[in-house]
Amino acid sequence: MLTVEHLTVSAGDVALLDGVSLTIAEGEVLALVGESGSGKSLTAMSVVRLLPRPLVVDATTMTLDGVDLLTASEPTMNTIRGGRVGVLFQQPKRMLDPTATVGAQVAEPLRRFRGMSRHEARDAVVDLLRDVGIPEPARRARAYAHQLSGGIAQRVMLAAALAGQPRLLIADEPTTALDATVEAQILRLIAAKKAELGMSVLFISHDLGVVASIADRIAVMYAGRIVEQGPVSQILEAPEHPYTRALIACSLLRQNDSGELYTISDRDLEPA
Amino acid sequence: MISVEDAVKHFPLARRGLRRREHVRSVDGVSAHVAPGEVLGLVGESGSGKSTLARIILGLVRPTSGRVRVDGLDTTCLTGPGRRQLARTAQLVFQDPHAAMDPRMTLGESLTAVLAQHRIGTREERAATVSSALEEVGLDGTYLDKVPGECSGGQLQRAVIARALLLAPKVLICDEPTSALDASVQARILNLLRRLRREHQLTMVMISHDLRVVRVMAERVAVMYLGQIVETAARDDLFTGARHPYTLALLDAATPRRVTGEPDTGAVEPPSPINPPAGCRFHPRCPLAADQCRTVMPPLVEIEPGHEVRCHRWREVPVSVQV
Repeated sequence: MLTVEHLTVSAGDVALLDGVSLTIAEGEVLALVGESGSGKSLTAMSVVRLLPRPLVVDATTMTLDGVDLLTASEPTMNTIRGGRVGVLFQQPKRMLDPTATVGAQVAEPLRRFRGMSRHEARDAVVDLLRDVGIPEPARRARAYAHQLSGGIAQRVMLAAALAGQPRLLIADEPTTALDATVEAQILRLIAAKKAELGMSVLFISHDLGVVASIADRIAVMYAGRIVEQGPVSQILEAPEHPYTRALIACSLLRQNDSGELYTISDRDLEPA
Repeated sequence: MISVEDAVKHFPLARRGLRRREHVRSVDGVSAHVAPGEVLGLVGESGSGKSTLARIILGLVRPTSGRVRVDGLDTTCLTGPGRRQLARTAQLVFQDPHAAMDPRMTLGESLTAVLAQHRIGTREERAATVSSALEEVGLDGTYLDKVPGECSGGQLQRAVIARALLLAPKVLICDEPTSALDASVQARILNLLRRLRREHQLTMVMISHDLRVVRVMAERVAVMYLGQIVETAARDDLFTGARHPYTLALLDAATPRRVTGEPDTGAVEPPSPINPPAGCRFHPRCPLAADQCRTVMPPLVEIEPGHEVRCHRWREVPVSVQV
C-alpha cells in the first residue's frame, strides 16, 4: 500500500537520506528504528511531503494506494495529510493547537474530509473521543491542550488522526514522552485500532522494546540508510548487520564479560 | 551518608476565588537512608516526587517539614557557609546537559568558575585541575575552548559530570542523567558513572524512570508513587520478588510483550498530587483494592530484612499486575 524506492533527500551536496527503500503492506506495522539523526523522521516526513524547502527529495518510486506522491499536486497532498494519512508525534501537547478546544481540533477533519455539518461533527467528536478510551468524552471535548495529561493528549491526537479515516498511520515516537504504564496503554490502543480498522502503520522509535511489542517488520536505519530490514523475530533474534547487533546489545544495557555495558564501536558500522 | 526523615514538601498553588488554598503534595512523608558508598535507585513516574526529593537532599528546595542530613550536615536551612560546604559534599547531574551549562561560556570557563567560586588553587592550578577532570571523563584538551553549542549531548553530559566531580564530593545525585541520550551514548555514560563511582567511592542516588538503568546502576531501589515511597528493597529482591502492585505494574510495563489488538481498557492515569486519593494512594488503579485500602493509608512495613512495602495486601499480591 505504501511503496518507497530509492528515496534520497539532500541539503546541497550532503545526502541526508541515501537510497531508502521500503514497502508497507495492507494492515502491516513497519517500524523504523535508529538513533537520533539516522533519518527516521526524515523518511516519514518525505512521504507526506512535509520537508522544508531547501531539502531536495528524489526517489524512483513513492506511491500510496496508487497515488504518486512525487508528482501529486499540493491540493491532492492536502487531502492525503490528515485524510488518508494520519500522523502522531512525540509531544502531543505541543502538537495540539493551544487556542482551540479538543473538540474543534478533532472536528476539523470530520468537516473537511467527511463533509459533516457542525452539528453532526459535534456528536461524532464525542464518539471518537470515547472510542480512544477517554473518560468523560463530552467534557474533554471542551478542554484545551494545557488541561490534558500527556497520555490523554496522545489519545486526542489519535482521535483526530482516525477522524480522517486514514489508511496509513505515521506514528513518530508516539510514546517517548510518556510514563511507562501510560506508554503500554497507548501501544495497546494503537494495536487495537489497527486491528479494528485495518490500517497500516509506519512506527518510528528509538526504543527496541517498544518496537518488539508492536511491529510486524523492522527497518534499522543508520546515517540515512536502512542497514537491515526484516520480520521482527529475525531482526531481534538473529540480526545479521553488526550495527543491528550492537544497537540491540546496548539498548538492552547488556554487559560484557568484564561487567562493562556494551557500546557501539566503529567496527560495528562496517558492512557485514 | 544521606539520611532523610519524614520529609514533606507541599508547593502552594495560586488561590482561586474564595476556595481554600490548595497544595501540590510533591513529597509526602519520605524517609530514606543511603549508606556511604551505596547506590540508591529512585524510580517512579512523572509527578511522583523523585526530583523534588533530590532537590530537598541538596538543599535546593526547603522542605515543609522533616529532617535531612548529608554527611552530618543539615540541609533544610542552609546559609552561605553551609551551602558552600554542602557543594563540596554533594553534587547533582541533571537530565538535560544543554540546560545545565552556560551556553556563552566555554567548557573550560564553566569548570574553572566552580574552582574560582570556592577559591581553590591559583590560576595555573585551576587550569591543570580542569584539564585533568575533563580528561578523566574522556574529553581531550580541545574541549576546553568549546562552547556547549559545539558539543553533542553525550559530550556535554561528560563535561557536566566532570564539573560535578571538581570539588571531590562524596555524594553524587543523578537526575535522569541519560534519558535525553541515544542508546549507544547512554551505555557509555553509564559505564563512565560506574567507573567514577568505583574510583572515587561515591555515594550515589540514581533517579530514573527506566528500570533497566536502575538495574545496572543501583544496589538498592526505592519506588515512589504520588510523593511516597511504596516499596524499597535490594536490587535483586525488587526485580525478582516485588510485592507492591505498583512496582509489579512498572515491571510489567517494562517487559516487552506483543500487543495483539486486545480491546483498549481506556485511559488510566496517576491521580493528581493536589488531591491524592484517601487511604492507599494507589487504590484507584489497583486490581486488588479492598474497602480497607480506600480508607486507611497502609504503613511502610518491613516484610523481610531490607525489604519494605506500603500495601495492606502484600501477602496476596500476584506475580504480575497490569494497569
